[in-house]
Amino acid sequence: MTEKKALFSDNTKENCYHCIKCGLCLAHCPVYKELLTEDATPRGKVQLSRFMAEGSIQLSEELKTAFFSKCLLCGSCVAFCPSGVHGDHLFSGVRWRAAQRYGIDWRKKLLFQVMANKWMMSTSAWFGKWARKAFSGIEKGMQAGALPVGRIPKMNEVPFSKQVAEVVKPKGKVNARVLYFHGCATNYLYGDIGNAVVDVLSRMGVEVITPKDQGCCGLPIFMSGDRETSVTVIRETLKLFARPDIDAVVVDCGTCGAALKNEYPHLLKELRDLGEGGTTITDAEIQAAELLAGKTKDVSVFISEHMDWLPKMKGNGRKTRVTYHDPCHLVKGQKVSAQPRNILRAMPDVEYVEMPAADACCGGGGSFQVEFPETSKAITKRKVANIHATGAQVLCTCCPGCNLTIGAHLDPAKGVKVLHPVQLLSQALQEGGKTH
Amino acid sequence: MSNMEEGISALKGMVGEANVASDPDRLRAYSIDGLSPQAAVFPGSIEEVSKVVAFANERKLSLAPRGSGTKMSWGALPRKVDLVLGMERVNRVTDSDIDNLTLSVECGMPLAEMQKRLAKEGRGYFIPLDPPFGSKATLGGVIATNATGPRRFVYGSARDQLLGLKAVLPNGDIVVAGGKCVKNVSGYDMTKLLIGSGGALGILCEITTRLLPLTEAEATLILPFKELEGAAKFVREIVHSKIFPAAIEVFNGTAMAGVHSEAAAKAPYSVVFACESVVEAVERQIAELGAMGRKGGAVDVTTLKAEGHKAFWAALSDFPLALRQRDPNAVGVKANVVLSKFVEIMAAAEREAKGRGFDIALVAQAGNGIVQGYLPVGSDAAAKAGGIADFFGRIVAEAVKCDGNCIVEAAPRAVKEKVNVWGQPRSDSVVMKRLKEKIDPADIMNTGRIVA
Amino acid sequence: MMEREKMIQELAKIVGKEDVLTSEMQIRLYEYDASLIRSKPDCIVLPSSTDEVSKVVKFAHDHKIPIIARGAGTNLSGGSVLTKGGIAMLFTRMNKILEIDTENQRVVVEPGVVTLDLKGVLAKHGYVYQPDPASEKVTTLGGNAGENSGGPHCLKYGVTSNHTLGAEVVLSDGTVVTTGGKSLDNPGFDLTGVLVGSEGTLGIVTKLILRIMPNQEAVKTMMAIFNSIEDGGGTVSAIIADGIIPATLEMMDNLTIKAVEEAYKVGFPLDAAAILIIELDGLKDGMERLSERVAELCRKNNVREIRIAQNQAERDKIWAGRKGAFGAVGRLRPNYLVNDGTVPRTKLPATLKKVFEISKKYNIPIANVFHAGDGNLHPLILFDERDKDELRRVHEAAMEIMKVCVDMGGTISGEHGIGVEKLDAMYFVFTPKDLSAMKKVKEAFDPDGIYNPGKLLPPLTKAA
Repeated sequence: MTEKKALFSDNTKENCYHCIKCGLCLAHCPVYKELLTEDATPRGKVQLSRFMAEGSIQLSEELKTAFFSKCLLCGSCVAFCPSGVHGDHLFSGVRWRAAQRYGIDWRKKLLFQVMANKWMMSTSAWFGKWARKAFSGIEKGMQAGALPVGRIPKMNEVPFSKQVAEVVKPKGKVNARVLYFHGCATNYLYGDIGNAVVDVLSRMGVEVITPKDQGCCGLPIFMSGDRETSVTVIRETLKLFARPDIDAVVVDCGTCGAALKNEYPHLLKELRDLGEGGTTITDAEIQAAELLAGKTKDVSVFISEHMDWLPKMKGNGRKTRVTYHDPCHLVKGQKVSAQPRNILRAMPDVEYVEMPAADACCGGGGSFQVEFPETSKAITKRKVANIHATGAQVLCTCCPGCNLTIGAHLDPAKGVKVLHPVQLLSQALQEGGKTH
Repeated sequence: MSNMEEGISALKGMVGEANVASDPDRLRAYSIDGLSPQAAVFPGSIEEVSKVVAFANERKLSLAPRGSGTKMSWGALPRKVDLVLGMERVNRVTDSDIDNLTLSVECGMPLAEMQKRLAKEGRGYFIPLDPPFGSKATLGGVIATNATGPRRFVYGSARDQLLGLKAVLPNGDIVVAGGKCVKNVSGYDMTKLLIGSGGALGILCEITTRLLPLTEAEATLILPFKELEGAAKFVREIVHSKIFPAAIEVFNGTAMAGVHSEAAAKAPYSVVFACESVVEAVERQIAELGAMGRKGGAVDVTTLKAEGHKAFWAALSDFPLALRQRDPNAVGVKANVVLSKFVEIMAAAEREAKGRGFDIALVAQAGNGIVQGYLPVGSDAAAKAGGIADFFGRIVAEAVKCDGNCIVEAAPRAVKEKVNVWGQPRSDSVVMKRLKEKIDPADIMNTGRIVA
Repeated sequence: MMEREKMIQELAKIVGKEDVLTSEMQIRLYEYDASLIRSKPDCIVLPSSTDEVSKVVKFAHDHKIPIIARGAGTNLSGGSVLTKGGIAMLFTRMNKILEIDTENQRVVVEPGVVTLDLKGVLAKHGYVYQPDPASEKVTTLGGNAGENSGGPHCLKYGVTSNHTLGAEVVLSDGTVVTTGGKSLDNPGFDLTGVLVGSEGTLGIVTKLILRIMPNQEAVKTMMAIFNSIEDGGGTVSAIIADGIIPATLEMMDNLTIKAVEEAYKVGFPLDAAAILIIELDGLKDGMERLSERVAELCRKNNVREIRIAQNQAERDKIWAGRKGAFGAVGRLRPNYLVNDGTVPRTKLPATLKKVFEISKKYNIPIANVFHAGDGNLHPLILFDERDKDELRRVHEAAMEIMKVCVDMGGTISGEHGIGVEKLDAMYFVFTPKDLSAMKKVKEAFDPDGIYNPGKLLPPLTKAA
């Protein structure tokens, strides 16, 4: 019986009481802005978490829906909570218990199993590619929730992990050695980003090690309530990446970065304190998670810290107007906002324009857009309007999830390209500084 | 009333023999729309006011409060006036807290007297109110009728400046509303309810108002225009700019002739600004307003400073007083419209007045959408009453079209008999009536005169 | 009152089934606001038009069901919680800006519009709606009107009521009337003036007519850091005595500074005893001289450091610290009770001294952040509501602070309202006669007492 188990560890439960119900989070919650009812607010869900932890309200289908369908887990509320309440930890805890009690949609469960198993993932990527070819006749009109299927990018011909050498040494002096965590999106969808990361880092004199067996960061899995499955992938990641002998672990995805940097230590401690999560979590694993958290850096942060390692960019005099979207898990989760902009501004051919509400969520939220398309689409619509209002030719963002969501909803007539800043940088570093 | 003799002696017992007038000849001076009271009572303190009011309430005697008498023509024809309650003696300063920029003063205090005293305090201060009849009006009358003047454009009106007040309700209760703090949400905002309530809900006895330090520099700019449209266009430009003069007034020729005859001779309409701020800002305002005015078609720019500046605004404030002294029958109307439409009202008022043979004087608070009109009537008011009533009807209709209304502020009885002095009735009067019934169940306060 | 099931059915007929929220979870979500008060409504209704509001009110009126209007639920005195059950009417979806009339410097809005959203839209037109409650990012204009919200810039520009010129109001029997209007001085009593700040006890507003103004040409924001709170207070008085009326004068004490710095990293020195935020606005001419004069007055009062914001970003940073101050103290203890007593400005230092004494007497930390320019204190009494003895001491301390404010010539609430929390303190300020006058106003508007019962007005005499 799940009721007998505590909802949160004592520390996490105590955090509920620091919510003074001031309501400031309402201003930053993309879901509340669309729905405008208290069940959509972080404040409301913190209160419900507290009620459940105190036992004054029981978990129900309705509560489950509120925590799954009325929250993107974007972390905006955490970033803006003046009292330091960790809504994300509370809500993912509730999702976990809700999933235990009511189960996870079998399709999602299957996907998580696939993600947790790298062999199956590569097979399924192949399957996905085949399926798209096979059904190309009808895919134009298909919708995957809020996403028009026809506008989902093509899968990589070969997964990125199979394209890249495990160790890429720079020509000349080695300034640093890093591990590259490329995540699933780069691996299966956005191989170009991965190649750009390796290219840029090599040009900076950085030795890039890309462990072959790496898999999913686990965040989509535990955020969906499947903490048990996520622990297996977290353990895999720790084995490969929690290494004291390297300078940094670079990540090209805001969400993966947030997982490695913030979520692993919290999640493992929470499971240890509750005595759950499959086999017992050891202190050594928590130490490893903390080591990894300390080493993890978004690639934009790493580059921005070592701009002096970059070769000179000459530029070709043809200006490209570029704007930047802050991925939630990067700007709110990791407080990274200046660094990617610094990189863009450093490129001679980039005319950088800031869009209004650049740090507002794109509405994607991983599988949220598939399951709750109406809310998601309304949020994305605002973002897209803000992008087009800048007149930018290129939208840069540091998250493949945002890339996918926004890319699928941009007005095709405007011809705006969506790129990772590192992709632009890689192009700028190539001869003549040709942009795109 | 059969018992008036006895009543008068009771009143004398409350306020002192010398402070009750019951001689019919003397009382004529206190008549309202031709209706003489049975006595005029002059209490010397708020406690005495309370006693008199409670007494009147018990005996269902109708009461009309009065300060220095500049607003006695306000309101509809009274159904009944038994007592006039003269407030001139209730005039003490009860708390002069210059450091906090607040002042508490009893309502019989003339505004001009208070301003004079404040100007001498320390670095010099003032109450940010500059209503008509400025040299004579008491604070009570100004607040009870919510009278405002040109500088409302920057300082707002009584509802923005008053922090609290003390009033005697019809049952004789002395009640306190608000306080002396700028922010106060303790209980209902009774202060706002009583401002402009025309003595229908209670007798205003003491107010607490914000004070402001006198500004470093001040000046007046007069810009005559040949056409009203041109003046209006220029005004619009200024209202929506960041220049923020203290006042933006538009005069027609007749009004300007009564305030500044030289300017009146230059063109039929004038735009006048008061500039009050720090030295640098006033210099900039003078330069910029003058230049913009000339570009906008002003035929001249006259700048008045120091005494000239003061004299101009004093003359405007006392314009209706001077008119009333010349012509006791003169009609005063006040239209309130959305601010861009003051020009529609001025144009309509000139057209409708001229068509009926009246030379109307018009002054608009152009940044506030308030237009004051003064119609000379002279003798034979009865014969002219129909024309004036028609005129008023037209202006009300025009004002309603401009999201506002129009009221009669002064008129001979013959005119008041033909019009609703409060203009177009409003949907919220249902609440006003209930308020009046709750607070003044015996209907003794300004019986019949006030809108509800 | 009628049976709950029946009530829900009837309401669903008016607004539609999906706009009546009734589940246990929903009820629990509307049992609170930002105060300590908790009490459950019977159901929540989301109207989408004046007509629906009117019909719901008429229904509530006919069956004597309490009814309350609610926006973002940020009330600090229990004003948006139904303490006697009934219908909570949620206005967050009636959030259209109906008209932006720059020509006449007015806007017409529905009550659910978020204050800062309106400002954002107006900024594009070069206009500003002046009231700026610290919670403006979330609060609705309807809520601001109900509470007569203030904010840092009240010193110069006044509170919500000074900028609210008219309203469409649903009376307690469902009748719809318009008070005031787009023009000033409409004939009759100033009903708009009474409605603003009436905490939902007199009427439900379905439209508001607000005053907007052109933006000021220049703004100068300064931050003065002091080693003693007395020097900060002295500076405030010195500025005003010098004839300068800044747009705002805001102060924070050390406990608040520390919490804010932890939450926002705005660069406040952790050992400062007081920080004073001074903002001047107006024409750019003379602004330099005035700000130098202000700096001089700071120096005369032993200022430790003066920082002047050089651009909008620096200005925003200073304000982010101030506007987030309440929430930030939530880091220090799980709960706070905020007082908002007001005193005449010159009495601030003496009042603060008493507040510190009260803090010591009851052994409860009190963080202070206040609108120094208008004498509006915000002592944040910090505690943990699970500690019942502490909770009792907190309430006693709060009452004592309010009494001190009244004794200093001030009042018990400057902008947060009476609600439930300050009902007892009303007796510090008002006599039974004063209260009886207010009661008449209540009866004239709402004879059956269905609007937000149990708030704002205590019984005429204090229960023994």
